[in-house]
Amino acid sequence: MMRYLVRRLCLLPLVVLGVTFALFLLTQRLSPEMRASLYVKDPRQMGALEEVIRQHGLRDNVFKQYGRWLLNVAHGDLGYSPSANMPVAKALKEYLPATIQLALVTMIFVIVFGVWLGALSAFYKDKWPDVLARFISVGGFSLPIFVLGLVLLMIFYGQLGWFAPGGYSVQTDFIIHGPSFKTYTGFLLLDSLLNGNGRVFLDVLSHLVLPAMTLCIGSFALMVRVMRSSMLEELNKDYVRTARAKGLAEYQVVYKHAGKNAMIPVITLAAIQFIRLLGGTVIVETIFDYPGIGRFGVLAAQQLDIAGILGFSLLVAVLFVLGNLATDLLYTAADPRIRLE
Amino acid sequence: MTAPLVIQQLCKIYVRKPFWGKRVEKTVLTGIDLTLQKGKVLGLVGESGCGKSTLCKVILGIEPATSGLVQINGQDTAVFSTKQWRALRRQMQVVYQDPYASLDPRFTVRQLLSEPLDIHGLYRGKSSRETYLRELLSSVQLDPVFLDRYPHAFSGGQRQRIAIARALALKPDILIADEPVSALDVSVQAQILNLLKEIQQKRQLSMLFVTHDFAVARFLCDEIAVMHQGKIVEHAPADKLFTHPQQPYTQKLLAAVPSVKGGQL
Amino acid sequence: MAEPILQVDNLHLSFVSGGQKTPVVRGLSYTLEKGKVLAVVGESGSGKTVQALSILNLLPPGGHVDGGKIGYNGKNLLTLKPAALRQIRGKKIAMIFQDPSSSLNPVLTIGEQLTETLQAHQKISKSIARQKAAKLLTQVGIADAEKRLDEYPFQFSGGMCQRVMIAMALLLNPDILIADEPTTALDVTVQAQILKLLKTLQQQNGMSVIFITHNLAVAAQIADEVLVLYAGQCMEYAPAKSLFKNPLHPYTQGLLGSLASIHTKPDRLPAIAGNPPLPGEELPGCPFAPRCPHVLEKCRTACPAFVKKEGRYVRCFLQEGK
Repeated sequence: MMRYLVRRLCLLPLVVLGVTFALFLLTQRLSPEMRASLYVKDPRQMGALEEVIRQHGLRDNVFKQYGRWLLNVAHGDLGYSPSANMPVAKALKEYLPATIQLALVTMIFVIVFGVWLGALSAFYKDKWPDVLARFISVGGFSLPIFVLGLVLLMIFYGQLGWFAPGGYSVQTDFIIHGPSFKTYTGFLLLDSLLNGNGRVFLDVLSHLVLPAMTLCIGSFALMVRVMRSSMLEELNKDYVRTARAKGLAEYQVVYKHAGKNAMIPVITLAAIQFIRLLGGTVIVETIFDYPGIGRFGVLAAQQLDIAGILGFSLLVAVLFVLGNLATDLLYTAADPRIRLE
Repeated sequence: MTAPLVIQQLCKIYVRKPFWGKRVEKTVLTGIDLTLQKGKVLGLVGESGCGKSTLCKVILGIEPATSGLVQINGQDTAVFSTKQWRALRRQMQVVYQDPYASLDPRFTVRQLLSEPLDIHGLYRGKSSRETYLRELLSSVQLDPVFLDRYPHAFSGGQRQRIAIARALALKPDILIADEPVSALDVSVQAQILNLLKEIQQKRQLSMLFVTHDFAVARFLCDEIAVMHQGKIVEHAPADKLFTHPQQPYTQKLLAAVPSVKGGQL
Repeated sequence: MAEPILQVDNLHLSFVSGGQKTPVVRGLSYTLEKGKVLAVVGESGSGKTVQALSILNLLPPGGHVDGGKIGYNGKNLLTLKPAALRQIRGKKIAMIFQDPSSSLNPVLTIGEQLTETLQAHQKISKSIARQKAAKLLTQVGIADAEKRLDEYPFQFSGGMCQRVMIAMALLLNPDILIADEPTTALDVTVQAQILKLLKTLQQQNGMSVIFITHNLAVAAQIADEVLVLYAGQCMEYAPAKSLFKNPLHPYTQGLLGSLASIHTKPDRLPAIAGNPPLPGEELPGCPFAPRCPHVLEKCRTACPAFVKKEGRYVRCFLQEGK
């Protein structure tokens, strides 16, 4: 087990190096002038381009440039992101908690209700709860995320004015950047509670509703479907018959016996979805102007903010490897037959 | 005269070498020596997990041997090319345990039986093909009107007859039967055993008969090899093995076989 | 005369799929006596397993009770409310199955699966339940029981899993044990051990057993009475000794005659011709008529009655006149 962990963690730098170097190679397709121009804020300074190029060594050989970047990363310096107007490291630190928060809220909803509805649907196969669940899952599947997002925004913001886009309101922004608000974790939902500020909590939560709902739909549909088929398969297995023959109550048969086995494929699905959500809920964050790393990544890409893009990819690669590792560990917890070596 | 199937000092070790980490070895067969005489039936008897299925796979070329010799009709199969293996199929065929899994449900009986003939370009003419297929079906005591039906229309026993007919289509001289009656109903087992015996005698087939059932082996086999944990523990003419088993393991197995006449425990 | 403990009376079962109804058990009656082992022998599709599952209402989806009665303790099990039936399942009537490794839940420990059975029927603490479970495991011949309670089914061999199943079934000292092909998936040596174990425990506890098997030799080893099923009907029902010595029905005769044996090597086995009827096949007369060597004209159109003869029952026209 320990060996497995160490081995997998050894893979982490390999993946990160691979991803970032590939990206680095790609950025070399841009001329040094183009790359340098990003650091020039004032058009009148254009004459100083050559100066910037020289200063950052943008004409050096790729490996030298990449090595320099790595060295900086090792010192915690990811460069400056013009698109976010702050150092990349600071931007990631600020935006990542918002995305994690969004992903967590979404996944909790997806897992709790998806598993429940999927199990219900399997248990009442071909009866009305099943028909309803299947309808929801087909509907959720066929609805493109950007259409749903825009429709929700139109209704709940445009017409009803209930939920606003963005990460929080202006007042909240004022409070959290004020002197009395302490930042403990970077997660606003948690920090507001720790500060005992209910208004901030509710405000942040209300800004989460629409993006979370939009993100939910697709994952939720998939979750219901996987849980349903997995549960149907388990309910037909021999051990379920044994459980009934022992005189267990039906809820024990369904939830304890079949449910525990049916959850195994669901765990992978949930983990993959979660990692995917972390890696950038690009469309949703853009639609709702939500201050997460997805939006940061998109802005960086649009503005050819190379430091930003590299920083974003680095983070996503790390999250991806760690997320997969966590999935494997979850597996061993759920299924005693799996031993990691 | 060379024996149709000669196995010498055969070993099979499964090796799993992960990209990273220790090599894991699992020895499945060790030092197997077997000779199948022409026109005889050799029974390979053992409990589940003893390696008899792996041995079949090695003989059929599905799995390579780790070391040792497998000689079929005098040729060493270790050096066979794909083309040689295909040619060998005309000499050696196999009947599997589960007639529900071994027949493709989307093929009619005609297609099932024609496939090997097509591959080897035999009986190309329309009328000669038809005559041969009918002959094949009658040889396994099935009505030729069944030719255009699909496997699902048949019971387990009938399916096994079709599987036997398919194995016989290329007129092989070696037949490998891997538990051919274990999946069948009791009242049908005897029919298939009789059929196998009759065909074996009529065609002078050399047959390797793999089974876990000593009673079945007694009925069909001339010689019996008892396998245990990847080794042959006893190899003797059938009559001798049943009347005077030498090894304690064989004795233990024979004593455990239930019998109708044995009475209560 | 022993006292009857379970009475199956004119049981009719069928499967419904795609709007089509296929009868699988047609008018089955038998009586299980206290402390006796009844073997139900038949081929696949004979209805032997289905009739056993119907006793505890464990029929798979599509299974349907069309009629009949299963009397236990003055109650008809077929019409019992689910909650009342749960009181009987596992406590009064327990069941073990053919494939022991798939019949245990792969993700729960053996201990959990044993103790939950106890706790479903008795108000006892987890630790006492564990002690009792360990005691039973020891009783069925599993060494180091205390430690093995924390292991999972995949850490047990097939034979060991079946021992666990037996221990689980016997936890609450049931009146009746239904064993559905309990040794079919096992090797002969293991089969012999499990049969011996079952017989010993049955005699110790004075339990009644319904033993379902396709293997006549196994039935001969364990049964006091044997019931031969064919195509959902009972062909012959007799004390084991007389059935194996002198089978009356042509089907039983054919089955016994066609068995290969390790003691003799005949040139040919006297096989029963033909194939068992496919499910849903029309059977206007005696279901065995198409394969019967002694078939009469009337066998094809009328089904003979189940008649009593010298303490045994048989369904055959040949025996009616005699």
